Amino acid sequence: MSMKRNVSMSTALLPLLVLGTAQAADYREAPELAERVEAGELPPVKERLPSVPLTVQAQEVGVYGGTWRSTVKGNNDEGWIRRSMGYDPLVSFNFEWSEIVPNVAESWEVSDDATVYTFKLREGHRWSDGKPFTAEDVVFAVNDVINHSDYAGERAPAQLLGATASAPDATTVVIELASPEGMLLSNLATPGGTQLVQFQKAFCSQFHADYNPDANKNATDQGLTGWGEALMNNCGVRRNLNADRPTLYAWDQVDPYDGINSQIGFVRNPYYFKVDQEGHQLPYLDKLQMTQVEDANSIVLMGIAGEIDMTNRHIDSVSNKPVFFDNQEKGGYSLYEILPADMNTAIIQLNLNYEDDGFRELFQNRDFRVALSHATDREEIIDVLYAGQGEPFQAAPRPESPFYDEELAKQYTEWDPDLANEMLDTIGLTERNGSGTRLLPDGRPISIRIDVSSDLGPLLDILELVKGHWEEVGVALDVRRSERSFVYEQKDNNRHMAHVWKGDGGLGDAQLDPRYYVPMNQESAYAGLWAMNWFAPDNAKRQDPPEPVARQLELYRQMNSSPSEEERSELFEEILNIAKEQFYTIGISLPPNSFGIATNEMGNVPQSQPYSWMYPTPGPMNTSVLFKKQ
Amino acid sequence: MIQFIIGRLLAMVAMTLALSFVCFFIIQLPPGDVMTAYAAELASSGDSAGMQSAQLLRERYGLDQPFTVQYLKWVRNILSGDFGYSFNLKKPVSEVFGSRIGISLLVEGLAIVVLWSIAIPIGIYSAIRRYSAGDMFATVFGFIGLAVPNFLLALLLMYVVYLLTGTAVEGLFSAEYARAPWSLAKLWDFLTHVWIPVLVIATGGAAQVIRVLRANLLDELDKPYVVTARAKGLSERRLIMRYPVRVAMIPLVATVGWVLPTVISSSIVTAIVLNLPTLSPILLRALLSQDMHLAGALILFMGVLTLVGTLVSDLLLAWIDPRIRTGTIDK
Repeated sequence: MSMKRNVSMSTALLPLLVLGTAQAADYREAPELAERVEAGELPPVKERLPSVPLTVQAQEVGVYGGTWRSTVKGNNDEGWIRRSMGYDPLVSFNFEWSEIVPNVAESWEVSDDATVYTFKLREGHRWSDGKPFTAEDVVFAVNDVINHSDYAGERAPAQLLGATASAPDATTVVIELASPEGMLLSNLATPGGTQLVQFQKAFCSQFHADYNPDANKNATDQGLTGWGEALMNNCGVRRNLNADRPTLYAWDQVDPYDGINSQIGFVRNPYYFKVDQEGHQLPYLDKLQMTQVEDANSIVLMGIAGEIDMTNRHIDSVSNKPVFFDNQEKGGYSLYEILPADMNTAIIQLNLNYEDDGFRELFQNRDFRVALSHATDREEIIDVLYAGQGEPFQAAPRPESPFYDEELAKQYTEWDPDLANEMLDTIGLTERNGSGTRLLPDGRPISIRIDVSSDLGPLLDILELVKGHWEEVGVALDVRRSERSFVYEQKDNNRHMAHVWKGDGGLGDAQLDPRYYVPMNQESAYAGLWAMNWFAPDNAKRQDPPEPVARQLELYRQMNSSPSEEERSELFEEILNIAKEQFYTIGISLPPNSFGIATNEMGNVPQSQPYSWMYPTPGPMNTSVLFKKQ
Repeated sequence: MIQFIIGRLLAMVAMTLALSFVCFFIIQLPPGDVMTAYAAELASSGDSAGMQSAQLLRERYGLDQPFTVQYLKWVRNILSGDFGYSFNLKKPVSEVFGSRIGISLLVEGLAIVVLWSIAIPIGIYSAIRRYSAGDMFATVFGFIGLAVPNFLLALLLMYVVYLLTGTAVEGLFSAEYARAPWSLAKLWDFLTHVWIPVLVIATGGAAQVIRVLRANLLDELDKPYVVTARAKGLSERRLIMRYPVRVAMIPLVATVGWVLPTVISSSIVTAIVLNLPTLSPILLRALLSQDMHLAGALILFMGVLTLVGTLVSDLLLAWIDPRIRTGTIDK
């Protein structure tokens, strides 16, 4: 992922924008909005758009009208809401996930040492309630929300902690960081970065104790713990609870997502700041409608009946694909391809920080991990569970990534139980008990307990097969299905012997979240206590890391503060080299391409979009260009 | 009689207290709490920054305090009418409750009415025409309904409806009517959706009623008083309905009280699969996320309903059956 220099970028775009502005007089708007303008309820479209709106090149110029029907599962699925219509940060990823492009911000500048970021906003940009969107709103978000210790919501992006924002004029935001951060822009383009444009100062300050002396009392009267929680509920990126909150997004939420409403509706935002290449104000679609369902099978049923206009969430498993494929004609929809950003179907992580001495010593023995890797028959897993799609793979960036390293990806993936047995014998694990399980030097059988969240079907299936493979070489794998929060509880308190999860970090998210390449966050379950050196240095359980890990963390720190993209790439490659030597985890296979479904009336459906959370699919395609063909 | 009722009411209060302790204890048992569950759910949808905010909220809500402190606080609040706050849904429990209890009662009530109106005539018919073709058919049908899991039947029905009509019938209302005020059109929409859950619940419970009624009625039909009545010229229908059926119904009446708690708990899995907007999915989600106040309140409510139901059953029994009534007076 390369990030162009800001100044050259905005200069390059200038001709395009000029072209766009030349046609300014011809902005078109949706018929329903035109009616409201006639009735005097809304200002004319030229005044609703900023003076330089963002021009989106739609694949096909659409028509106004229609509703995008989709689903949310349970009451904690705001992820779908953020992905589908909640992705309009200051700067965003482009479709291919190869660069950062302007979004709400028109342009930006970075100081040479990456400590001062200056963003230029759009003149005349307004919130959905008509009030002007200014630099003050962004400053409020950075200084008074993210940096306030009483705020109960997500204080992210983490790079902004300790930063100070200021607004020299209404359209300029200057953010001064406490220390150099070379990757701030990428982090601002992730879903966490939308926070900066989520808080309208005029509306949200009523919940903030510094601006409203009654804020705390109002919150506690409602049963909350304080104004920090009230602010989170009403204005934060999660939860989407307050339907009155003004927004910059293409659609305005009308029904709160509170777990009780079974229909969550969104209507068009008349002040949305984007237009298509012919001057039509976006979005094309009038409304969004999300039905809350409890069970993934309901979503499948609705999908095959053609009642979902576009989604890939919760349904894109290998076992569902034939069902969707068969019913395409009857349901009036078709499948579209999605490229997973994940680099692995399962990453098996032995806990190198496990509290028991005997096992910890064994897990930390690299040859033990290599032996287990050789004992795993990956081809069988691929054939049985993925219908032959995929290839044996370790924890490494995907082949499409600029950081692809064949050795890192393929080392020790050959299935060779004889070699595994030999290696285990060489380590000294020659004693076995009655059932054939090898014994530790202290005499206990090597039985590795691994907790798996019971709602992750594919991981369970993989582990069942792996269990059989490892039994052949005398290592017992005790697969425990548990409820998800229990699994997390164990992992977060370092009580787990082993953990398994899918392989995030294969494409553009490799540098943003390199959890499997270097222990740095809570998801690095193979070395949680070493990872604390990065994410929780004051935690009492933190352990000093061994030299290679310490070196990696130092490189990671340098990478984050370097303003040069080239330097960052070099440092990251060094980190990957150390990961290759250390061989922390055991991977299984490259995930097959995924799919989504879209009804045939839907236009501008994205093809071959990457799928990830950091790049919140389908957000970066500009969902405002979706339309319903008449 | 009055003493009996008062004694029972006192016992009910004691039971409820004991129940509250047990249910609070069990819900708290798994390690972690509602905040862990929340952070875990977010992490699995790809969002890994929830831990810090979870920790902050945990401290704020006193979730890291010892068990007894939390329990006493909870009981004290309930006694003053404050059922607490649902962390998961960000609403007071009473609001969550109030918004769904009406629909729960409606759907369950319909299901029970349908169940009994199917099962009783079939049960009577089975007994009267013992071993006839009708009896065999009713028995087989009853047992199939009993043996097939409710959720499986629900899924099958949904799929069959999809095959026949091409629409996915789930939930209780179509999108347009979900928030609209009640009207004839909405009523019709409701009926086209509610028949599946009603059918599923009814077939599940019908077999039991049919068999019990059949067995009891068969016992009664051989008794001397029936023969006497027949000899005295009473028409067959009046005879059967007035005497043996009423006696045979007694055990069924005794169980009518337990119908009350099924308002929430009956067929939780069916409610999930069919996406019914009742209290069942809310209970399941509350339990999974260890949302203490909501789950505790719902379970306590079910417990109280069961106790009330049992009391009602006993009273009904005493009223219908003079043998029990005279038994209590004769102390």
